[in-house]
Amino acid sequence: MKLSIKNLSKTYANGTQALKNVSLEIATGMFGLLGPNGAGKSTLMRTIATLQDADSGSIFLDNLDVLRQKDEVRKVLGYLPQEFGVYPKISAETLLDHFAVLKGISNSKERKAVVEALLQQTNLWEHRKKNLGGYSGGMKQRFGIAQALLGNPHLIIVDEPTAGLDPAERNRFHNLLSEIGEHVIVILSTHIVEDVSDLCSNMAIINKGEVLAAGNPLELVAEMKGQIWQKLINKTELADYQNNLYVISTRLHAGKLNIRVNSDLRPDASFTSVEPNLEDVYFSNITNSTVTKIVSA
Amino acid sequence: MLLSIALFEVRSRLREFSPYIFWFILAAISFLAMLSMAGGIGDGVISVTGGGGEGSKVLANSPYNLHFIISYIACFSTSIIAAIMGRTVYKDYEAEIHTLYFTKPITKFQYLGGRYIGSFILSLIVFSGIIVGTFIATQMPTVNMDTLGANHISYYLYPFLVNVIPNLFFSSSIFFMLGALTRNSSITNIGGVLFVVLYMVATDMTRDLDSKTLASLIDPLGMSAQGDLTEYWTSAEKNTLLVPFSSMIMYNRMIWMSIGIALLLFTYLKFNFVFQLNTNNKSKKKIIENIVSQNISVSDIPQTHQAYGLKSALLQLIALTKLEFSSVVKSIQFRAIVACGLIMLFVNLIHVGEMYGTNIYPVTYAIIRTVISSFGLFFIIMIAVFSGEAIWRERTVKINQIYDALPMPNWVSFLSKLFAIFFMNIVVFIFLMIGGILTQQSKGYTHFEIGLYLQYLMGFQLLSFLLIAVVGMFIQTLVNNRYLGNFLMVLYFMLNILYSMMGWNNHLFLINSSPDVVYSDMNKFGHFTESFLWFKMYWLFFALLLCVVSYLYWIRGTEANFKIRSLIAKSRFSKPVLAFSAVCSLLFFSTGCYIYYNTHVLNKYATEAENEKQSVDLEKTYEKYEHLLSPSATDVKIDINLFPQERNYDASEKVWYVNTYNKPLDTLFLNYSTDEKINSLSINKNNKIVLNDTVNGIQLLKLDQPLMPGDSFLLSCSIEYKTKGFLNDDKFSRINFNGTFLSTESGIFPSFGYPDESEIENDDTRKKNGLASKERMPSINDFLALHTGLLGHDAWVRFEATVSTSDDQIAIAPGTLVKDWKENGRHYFHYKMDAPMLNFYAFLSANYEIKKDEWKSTDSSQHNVAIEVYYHKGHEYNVSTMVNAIKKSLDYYTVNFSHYPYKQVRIVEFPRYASFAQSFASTIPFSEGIGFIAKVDSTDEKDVDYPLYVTAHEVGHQWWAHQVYGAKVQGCTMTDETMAQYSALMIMKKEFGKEQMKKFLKYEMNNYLQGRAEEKKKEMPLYLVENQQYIHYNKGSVAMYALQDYIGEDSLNAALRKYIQKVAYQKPPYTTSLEMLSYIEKATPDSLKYIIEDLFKTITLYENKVNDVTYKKLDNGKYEITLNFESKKLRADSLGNEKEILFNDWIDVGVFTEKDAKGKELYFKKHKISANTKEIKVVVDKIPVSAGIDPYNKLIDRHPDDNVKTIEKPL
Repeated sequence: MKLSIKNLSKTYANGTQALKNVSLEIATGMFGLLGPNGAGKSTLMRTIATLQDADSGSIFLDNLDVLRQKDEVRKVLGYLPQEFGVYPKISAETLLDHFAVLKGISNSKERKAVVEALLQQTNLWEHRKKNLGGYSGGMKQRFGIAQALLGNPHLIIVDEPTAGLDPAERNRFHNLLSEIGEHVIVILSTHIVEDVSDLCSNMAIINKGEVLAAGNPLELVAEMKGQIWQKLINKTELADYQNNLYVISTRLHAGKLNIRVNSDLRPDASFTSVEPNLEDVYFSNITNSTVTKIVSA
Repeated sequence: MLLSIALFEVRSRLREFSPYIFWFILAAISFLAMLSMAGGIGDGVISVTGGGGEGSKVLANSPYNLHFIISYIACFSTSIIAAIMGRTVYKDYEAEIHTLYFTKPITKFQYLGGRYIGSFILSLIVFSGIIVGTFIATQMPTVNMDTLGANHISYYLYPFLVNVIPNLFFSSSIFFMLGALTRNSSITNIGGVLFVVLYMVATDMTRDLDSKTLASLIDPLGMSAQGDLTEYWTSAEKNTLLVPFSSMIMYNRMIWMSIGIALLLFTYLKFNFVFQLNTNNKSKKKIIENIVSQNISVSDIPQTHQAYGLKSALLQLIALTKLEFSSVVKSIQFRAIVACGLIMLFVNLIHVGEMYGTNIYPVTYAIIRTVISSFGLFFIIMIAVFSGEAIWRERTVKINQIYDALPMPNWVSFLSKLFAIFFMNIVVFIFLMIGGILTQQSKGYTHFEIGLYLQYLMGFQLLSFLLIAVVGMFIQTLVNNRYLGNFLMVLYFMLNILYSMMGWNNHLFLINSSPDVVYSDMNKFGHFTESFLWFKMYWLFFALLLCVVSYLYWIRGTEANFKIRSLIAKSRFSKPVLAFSAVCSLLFFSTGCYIYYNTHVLNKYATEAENEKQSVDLEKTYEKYEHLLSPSATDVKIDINLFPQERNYDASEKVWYVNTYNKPLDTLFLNYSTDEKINSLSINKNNKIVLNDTVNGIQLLKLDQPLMPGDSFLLSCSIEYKTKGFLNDDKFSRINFNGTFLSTESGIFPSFGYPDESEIENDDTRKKNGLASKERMPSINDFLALHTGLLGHDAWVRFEATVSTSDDQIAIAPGTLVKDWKENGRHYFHYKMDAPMLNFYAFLSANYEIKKDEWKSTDSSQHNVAIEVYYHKGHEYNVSTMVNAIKKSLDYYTVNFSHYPYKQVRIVEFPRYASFAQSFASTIPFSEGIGFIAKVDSTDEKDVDYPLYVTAHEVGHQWWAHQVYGAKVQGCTMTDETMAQYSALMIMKKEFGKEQMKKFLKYEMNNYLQGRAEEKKKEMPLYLVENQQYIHYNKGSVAMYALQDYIGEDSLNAALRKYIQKVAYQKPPYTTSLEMLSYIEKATPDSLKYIIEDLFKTITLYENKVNDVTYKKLDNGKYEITLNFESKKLRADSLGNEKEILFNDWIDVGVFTEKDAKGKELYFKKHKISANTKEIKVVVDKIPVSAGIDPYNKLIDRHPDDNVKTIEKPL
């Protein structure tokens, strides 16, 4: 199973170019889509999820033309949008059953079984009879996950799925996703680097509608080896360093700032070399596309 | 700070879209209302205020008209204030910005006050649209300048100051409170609708209040007080006076402004100026979870099978429809609208079918009619609101992205929403049906016609509403903007109003329109069903096409760009869709053609403009023949065959005509109905047809030998009428499946003479078409006109008719039934008239029940009279009242007027396509809509036994019209209608006593005063009445009642008897009101001669008012009463300009044992009273309770209620 996106572009009516010539090959497994808010992740996800059209380019799920055979795609799709609401006066069980009907599960016994299983799995079984209006953000999110898993989807798209979940929930959800990811394509969009590094076998970094990097996270990290340096500085000095060096991230540490710098050479003796991580890859790419890189002398 | 918050509010709101839309809507409505009143569009038929309208003497921009237009438009736009005010505080919560506000250093007073003031200013800006709209309309080039006076800006601003601003203040306070305290926008919005509805209900309920003061004060919008104040204003007053700011209006304004302030204060105290979580969930308990950590595993999720066939689609459709439906019926909006509608309905059902304050039996069709008329608007609101809600449902709760990625076809989501609205309608219909049945039950009526309810509501109505729902969904889908969509729906409904204003009625071109369906107990849905179904089928195919477009543009996903949506639509336009739309278009087109064939080819269709043009052409071409003399009929023999099932008839006549003039006639002007086919037409004199105009139905015959005075000829003619297909509108159908009513007035046979009645009456229309203005009636001194009566000059003919009809029906014509036989499956009746009659007859046929009786004469010279009432089975309620009324009438009229010439009096029921009763010689067709189902409760003070009244009136016409036949000149209808009215009044007085007459005369007085306030041309004194109903009926009643009271019933009747002796069955020139008055004058003593002048010859009004009544006990045990009063006598000209005149008249003074001139008369006598008489003292035996001047309201007085006062206890 393979999802191939070729030269996808999209410009909104207000002139925002949300996608610029995006090409990606996504195979079975977990695929992480990493980028800051407004990078075009959701546009890309919605386009794959048949909710939006592209100006140009193509998306194929194996032989299925996603942009044209929308109905066919929807049959194998599980989609959890970034932001969604629920009918407040309907119970979780009723609404999930309703969605199951809409997913084409016509056999009522089967439907009952799968609804029950999903509610169990997402820990909503106890409150299945309660109206969704009373659900907390986390519960609602889990309900969203449950509906996305209805009907054995082959392509699962989850947009910022763990927002609002507590750490334990998040863990459990990640486990589930990676298990599902063994058999089908799961596209996970997030701005949390950790999620991707924990879960994904493949990823892409996207910003301002462009794919900045794509590949296996470990390989991407490996490519950075020897280029990341760090130093503790006073807060007042930050501007100087930013002017002269390619500072990719800063973090407060005991009242001082720990800055990480991307540089082929050690900037000066006060910097120590550190092992790169995915965050460095991410920030390097993001910053790269935002600031002009100043190569140190 | 307060001010800057207010200004910020105004500025930020003006950045939104909605204030502009609201402004535009108000301006547009005002513009259209004003424009139509000023004759700028249509024929100016609209009349918002009762004044105005083309031909009216009340100017469109008169202070009166502007006052009420501006005020009423503002009143009914209260929901706009709800939308503005409700959002004020709510929008902070919606944007979740309130926490920012609440943490700023501003006080609660500054926050709320600023917001309120800001929104109030915004409302004022929005409502200024009304002034701008009305004003611009007066400047349009299309307006008729005659309908406009000088524009005074004060006329526009005054109502704004007196009504709009105070009412805005009051209603804004309510909605501000609702918005601030509930923080729920739908509650506020529904509040807006509720407000208007409850207001309408409350005004309706207080209308019957005896205390006008109370009703005026409790009207929150202050319109009742102003309505009362101006109720009887004449054109002259309306054109010149601002509605005075009376103390009553001032108190009203003060009361409701104070309540507004109190509401604001309440809001201030209750408003919680601290951070709160989204309060929608405040009351609901959040679920507290115990997290049990449990690992999720894919293997635990069972495998499922997905199917995507038609079966699964249907399953999806059912599931979605269920969800949609329950969302609708569970919503607050739905419940609020239904609750409002039901309240309104029950209020209206109390008065169902009321006439003269008297109820009817709550027959099912009357209940349904009330249901539809009072709930109709709610249906439209509901359909408009919920089609928008349905389209936006997923997006409102933000579940749309999940939905749209689900594998269901678009048509499933579209249909589910449509079906949900459809089922919503059905549910409401069921509610209404139960409501209707409960009403019937509660009124003790148990003939529940469930089938009729179902047919009417679930059949005819549902079909109509379905298309509105489709239009709503179509608009919302296509524009993809909720506000714009709602706005367009409003425009769509306004367009419908525009159609009727413009006089457009071609149902082929007006979306969803179809002929009105009138249900009659007699004829059921009759011929309406066929045409209705064809038109609805036609529009249904149109609706299907709209569905296809909606399907193509159905929003799926987040794409909002119209270009891209069009591309998507193109890609959705698959072969099956193409095929489906092709089939729908074909069916739409072919049903359209079929309808066109029926309405335009088989039958004649003419727009109002075309009809107008034809009338103008006819007048311009043939007016020169207006005074051409015509021969008069003397002997009429008719054979007519009615075919009720086919709705056809054929007929032949043989009529002898004679030249009654003293000069020869050589040219005959013949006019005939173009709807009928003339098979043969000949006269037994050699002649040439010099002109045959088949468009106007006119033939000119030139006689070879002129017809000498006294010579006669025989006209033989045979015609046929075939109902072909159906018409665009067939509301006044004459020949029906059950209930045919064909009369000479509807033109069965050709007749001689220029058809004066087809000329256009409205002077403005005449002027537009280059015709000179036309008097409504020839002058009373026009000698030539005296030769024609109201019904032509064919008076006193011999009449004989054979009528046949279908086997199961009975056919009726004037005269005695000579023979009745069945032949070839048809039923034949041969009628022969026993006495000469007007050449004015009718044929009726239906499946009748008959009640027979006989009136026995006590006078040897008068024969007995057979009484027959032909009625529809089930309508027996008032049949015996009618029989009784006929007997009473014959008793009174034969003694007091003259002999009854015919051998029978018949009442014959006909379907309620028209609501009147009409007297033909011996035979009285009587509409099922008046009287047959009246439920007269003799114990109810308000009830008037109008079946008795109408019967007595019509029997009266057997003398007044059928014996005394007035010339068609001014005052003509005084000699028939006023006298028939007088006859009926005397029967009622005898039957119910003079105290009961007061309530009937109160209706008559009120109708007269209202009628003259709405007079469009000029008010005439009674003796010159120009067929004005409010004069010859309503003023006539009051005047004749007063006359018999002043000169005595017996001496009046003696005078009338002499008059009848003189003029009955007279040959032309015919009698006039002046001749009748001369007899009355002779019977009037000199001291009372002035009343003839007051009642008949002028427009005279009194202003009698008791200021104060006291009494003291005298030493002899009696009581001396002192009556303090004022009295004025006014004369008005034809436009209503009044001036006070000197007088010294006899006026009743009465003292009573109960309030309001009820109980026993302790004292009752006429006193000579002038403007200088201020006080009268009388002595009575018992303790008096009330006293007054003209206590029974015999004199015309615009404030009849202040004539009597309850006496205060002695000091």
